[in-house]
Amino acid sequence: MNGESSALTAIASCRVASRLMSIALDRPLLVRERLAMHTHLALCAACRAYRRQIRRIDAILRTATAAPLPGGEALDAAAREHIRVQLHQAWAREP
Amino acid sequence: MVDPVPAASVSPDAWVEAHAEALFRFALTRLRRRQDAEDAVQEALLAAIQARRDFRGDSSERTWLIGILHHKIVDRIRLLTREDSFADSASATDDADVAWWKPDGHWARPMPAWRQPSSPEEPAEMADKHEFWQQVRRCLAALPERQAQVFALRTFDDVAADDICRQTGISAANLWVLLHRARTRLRDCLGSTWFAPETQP
Ligand SMILES: [Zn+2]
Repeated sequence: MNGESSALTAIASCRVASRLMSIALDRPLLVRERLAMHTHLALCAACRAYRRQIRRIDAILRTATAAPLPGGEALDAAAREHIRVQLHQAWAREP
Repeated sequence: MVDPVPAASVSPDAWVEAHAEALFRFALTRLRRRQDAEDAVQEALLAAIQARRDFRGDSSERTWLIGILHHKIVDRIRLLTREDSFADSASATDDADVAWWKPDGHWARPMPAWRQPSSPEEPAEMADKHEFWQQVRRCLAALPERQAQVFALRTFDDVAADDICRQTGISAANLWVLLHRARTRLRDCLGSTWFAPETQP
């Protein structure tokens, strides 16, 4: 089996390769997935940039774990009051 | 016998006062729609009233409530997923895919370079950059709802992919598609705004 020609026929499209780059952020890639991704990356500058950029975003956004993002919309007064009333009713029912 | 919960903090008014706002913002980032976020907060606080004797006091009250809220958010995403029978349509090509990839699977648009990180500590340094997180929020708001929801669970809450599938009923194959699309859109959105070479923080 000629390794070079089998690698060439197995070259993934940017669409498939970039999906593997995304999956790599979620679980370890299988050996054949890693091979397909790295073969593509070696040949494609756009996908190298894509991978660098989604990894950079991932690393930054992960720092927001378990906290509200800073800023953003506030709970409106009517909703807050509704929640308060519901809690009071539940509280009264609880022993 | 020592009650682990300070009596003063366990009252509906005190909880609403101390936590409702933060819980709402937490839920809104993850669910996107105000009504869903309000419902999830209410459900979480009602559950907390029933479960308050389980609170051990070994974490902060806020952390405990966020944990309950997280479960309510996942429940809601599962219901939404079931309702719109999204599981059947996620693997189909969505309109936006045409914009990202040509029919042969190559990128349809150039992949512009980003400005360099100011330092290797970039992730930590971004924590208090308010305008950055506002931009993240705008970019997340532009994502289709289910993409934004699973992206938030995976990235902000660090829920393992197989746990997301089990808890929401989304298949693994569909989850990879949703997360890939979410990251591709976010990369484009943040790349054309915050990370564009001419934009300085
Ligand atoms: Zn490529």
